[in-house]
Amino acid sequence: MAKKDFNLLKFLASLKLAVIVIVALGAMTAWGTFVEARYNDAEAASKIVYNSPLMYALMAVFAINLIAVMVDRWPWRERHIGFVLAHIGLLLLMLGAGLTKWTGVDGSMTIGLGEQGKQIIVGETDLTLYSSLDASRYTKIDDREVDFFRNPPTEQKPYVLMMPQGSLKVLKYYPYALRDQKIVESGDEKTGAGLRFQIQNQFVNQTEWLLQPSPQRFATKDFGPAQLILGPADQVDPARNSIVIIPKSETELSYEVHSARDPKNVKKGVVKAGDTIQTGWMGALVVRVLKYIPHAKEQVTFAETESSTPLTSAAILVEYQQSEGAKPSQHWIAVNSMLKLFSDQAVYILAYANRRLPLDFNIKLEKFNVGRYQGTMTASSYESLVNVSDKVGTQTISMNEPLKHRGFTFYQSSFQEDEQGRPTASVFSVNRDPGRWVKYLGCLLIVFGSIHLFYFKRKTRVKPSPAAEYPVAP
Amino acid sequence: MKHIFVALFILLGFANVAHAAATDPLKYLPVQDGGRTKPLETLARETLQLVYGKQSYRGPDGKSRPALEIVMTWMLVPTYWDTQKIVEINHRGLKDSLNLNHDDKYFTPAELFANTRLVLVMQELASFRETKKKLDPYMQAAQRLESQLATYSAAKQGQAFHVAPPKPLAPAQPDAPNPHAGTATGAPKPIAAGENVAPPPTMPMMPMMAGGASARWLAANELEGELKDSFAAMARAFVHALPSDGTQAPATDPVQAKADLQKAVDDFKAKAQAQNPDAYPSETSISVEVHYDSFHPFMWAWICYLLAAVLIAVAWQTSRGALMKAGWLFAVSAFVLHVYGFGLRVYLTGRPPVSNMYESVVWVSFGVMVFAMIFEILNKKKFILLAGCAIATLCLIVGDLAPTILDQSIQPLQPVLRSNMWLTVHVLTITLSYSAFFLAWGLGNIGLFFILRGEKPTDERPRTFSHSIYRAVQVGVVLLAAGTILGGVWADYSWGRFWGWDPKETWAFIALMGYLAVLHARLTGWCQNFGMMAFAVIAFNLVLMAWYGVNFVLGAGLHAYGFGAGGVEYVGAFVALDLIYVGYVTYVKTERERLAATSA
Repeated sequence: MAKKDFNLLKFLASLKLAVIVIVALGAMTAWGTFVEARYNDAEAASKIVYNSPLMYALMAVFAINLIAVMVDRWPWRERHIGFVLAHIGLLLLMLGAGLTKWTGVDGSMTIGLGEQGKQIIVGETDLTLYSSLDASRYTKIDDREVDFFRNPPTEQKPYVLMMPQGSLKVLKYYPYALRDQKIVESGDEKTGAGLRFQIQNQFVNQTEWLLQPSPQRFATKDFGPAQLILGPADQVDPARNSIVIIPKSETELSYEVHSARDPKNVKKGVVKAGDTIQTGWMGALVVRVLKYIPHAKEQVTFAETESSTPLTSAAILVEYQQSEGAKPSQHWIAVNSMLKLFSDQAVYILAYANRRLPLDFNIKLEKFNVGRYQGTMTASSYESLVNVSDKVGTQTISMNEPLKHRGFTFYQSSFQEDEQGRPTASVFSVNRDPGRWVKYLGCLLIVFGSIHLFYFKRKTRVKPSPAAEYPVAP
Repeated sequence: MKHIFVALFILLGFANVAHAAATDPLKYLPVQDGGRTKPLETLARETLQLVYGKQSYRGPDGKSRPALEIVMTWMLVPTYWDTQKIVEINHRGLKDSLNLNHDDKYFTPAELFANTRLVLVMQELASFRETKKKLDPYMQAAQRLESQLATYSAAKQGQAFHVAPPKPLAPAQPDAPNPHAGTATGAPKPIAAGENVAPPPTMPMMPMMAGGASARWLAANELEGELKDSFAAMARAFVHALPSDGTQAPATDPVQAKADLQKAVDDFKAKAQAQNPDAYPSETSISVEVHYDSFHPFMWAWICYLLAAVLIAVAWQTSRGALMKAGWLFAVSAFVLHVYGFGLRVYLTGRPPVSNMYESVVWVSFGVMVFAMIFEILNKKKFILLAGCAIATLCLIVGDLAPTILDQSIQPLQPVLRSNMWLTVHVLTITLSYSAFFLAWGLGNIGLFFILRGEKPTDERPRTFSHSIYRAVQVGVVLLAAGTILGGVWADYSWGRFWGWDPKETWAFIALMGYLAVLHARLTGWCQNFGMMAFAVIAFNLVLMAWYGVNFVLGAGLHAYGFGAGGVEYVGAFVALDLIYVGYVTYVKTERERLAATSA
């Protein structure tokens, strides 16, 4: 029995196991990079490979191997210093990585110019259900973490959320999906009209949809100095060129054309699908009515794509049944958006979003500076000037110069700009990393250990021991 | 020994005299392009490189003409160039889409602009861009064609030549609303109200662009008054200085023409500089860049490395001490040229020379030479220096031959990289480790050659090879471990993430694992002399993947600023041939040992 234990230690401490584990780690992580390239998504590689049970198992074997080999070499002598330091360093590095993973925070924060940031957005996703009886005060009735990437629901095995009445099921999950929005007939008298139109002059040729929220309200589309209004507008700005279109019947619309140059002269008429409205202003701009739906609604669907692009997002298909026996309805929700559901007694809001961690202080973005390379719009540098609620004075956060505050560190990550190229918001990555110094210590030991290891070898290798070279052929 | 020196200097001197031309003074005209100021010479070379694929043009008469002459005459004699075959298209699929002849490589701007399919291809490109997907090779070719034609048109109309800084504005209130910008944040694009109003400018005027040091310079076609006249006079002087095509007698004496052009250029420079002296670059930096472009130190470096490699190889085989000394001399001269080239580039960019693939190739070959020279001095084996010179030659030739893949031009740096301390420490350490592994690879390949020639792995020579490889791998492992960790520390400091399994860092990690496996396998007895040589060659593919593959094959991750395209088939073929070589040597060696065992 004792002999068998001894052999197990020999095996766990063996260099051959070390070589196998090292090669396996290399192969595994190489696979990870191909997974990332395949989906164009680092998150996918992280979930499929780097944070998979297989990877953790490999790491565990690696750690056992490292410890076993040190135990096996006990008692250590001077020539072991490098070897022991490097191996302890590796163990500390893994320990530090674990501390970061399990106790740290790694998120992001986007703050608009002049606005305050109060919470960090992290990678975990939650499904949260709120209910209200009067549609103004909402109570959270369910809140749970979901990882649909790892455990995707299917129509056969949906993810079920319990509700006081009725039921809510997540039927599908697409990690990468493109949003497609259609205006369709609603079949509901309470919904407003939908209008597809084209505006055209020598500079512009645009086709757009406008959707009236309800027959009593209006929707506006702005075109710089002009605007198009669908529905009964209370007042028309006399300083602007405006076209007001109001549904008249199932097929006809009445319109008014207001001119900024001549506010008193209002042109009126009636159009139906296929007709055009001559505005007489802005280079004889013409509005053509392409399609008119008296009662329309917006229908959002998602189409799955093979890999991630800046336009795709994760989305889930939800089925809601008001009560047993009632006709179920299906709705798509993209990540970080919500869905309103109605029952006879209550209103529900279902939110599918990245988790938000509230901070106990605020950060206000006072100013954002972008430096550009001369004669171009290419950013050469950017920095955020912020005020922290419990810290005096304005702080600067720039590339390579983060802000540390109350255990959190704020790093300048990127920024958002408008069409004129002016910054509108600053994006920070925010983290708290309790494993940092453990990792750093580990790294230091690895580097010193390996230098010592090779230096020491050099001294002893002046006279190579006969055992160092094996005969290759018998 | 003296003869070699003389030969070297004659060679170098020739390089400078050969290109002296009457049009030279115009080379030194400062222009603004791509986010920095540079000499017109550089702009002309980069422009011709983009449009024509080379830095000099070979016309129908078979004569080679410098970029400056070509690109300037696009503006001065556009009708001529519209019908010359100067637009390079390589992609077969793109030629198909445009109904162009497969066998042709160059096309005239006129035929391309008249091509009815061009609009469709450009629409295809625009709608592909809207999907925000990565461009495939066809789309990349279409994108290149788009910029080729745009660049040609811009050069033709003088828009490409931003020759004078605008006059500085009165210091504006930094917080004052920008009068050129739209009405509201995020407002949709306005429709031009009426015919007399110009359509909205495509490039909005930024406050900093209206004046100040980073303002956009005036293009040749935007000049007014004195500047315009001076520019016209300079253009005339340039035309006079152009070499005649041989059919007619030169209108003016070249020496006189050169002096006239110099005067005209000086006059224009003085006027342009007077506009905004702060924004105008110094004479020195412009001259250095023209010198860097025309002297091309790295080309002379690889020529010397090649000579050195040949001399050392002969010296090694024939054991002649004098030849080895000559080899050393050429190796050191090459190294001096190499360092000189770096010096110029660092002066011009103001940053460590490792910010793109081209620079890293040049830098890694430099590191290889550093290690090779140190190891050679310590061990005196000759073949170490041979391997170093051979690799340096290979790297620098590749850097010269593949300008479309390894972009030699100096480009602005991403904001995150503008930290000289971190960039220097992290990237230089990592790339130096590549150098050490590269040297081990070279030694491995040469060592395997001797196995192929019948030496046993236990013989003296393979043992010394194996030992040198082992040393190089050790140095590489320490540098790669330290460099990867430093990268982690930089990432932690700048992004707050020590390790994020980004493909670039992951492949550095994989390469580290690969070499660690080799080092540990050596201790287990799995990897002896022969194994060291074979694995030094095989494991270098991991370095190639980390260095080249992540950027050019995988094309994913945070290190996207270094990404490029092309060359995969060449690198792939090279790697495949190398692996076949290793496989063949292994086969030959095993067979030999089997035969020895059965006969014994």
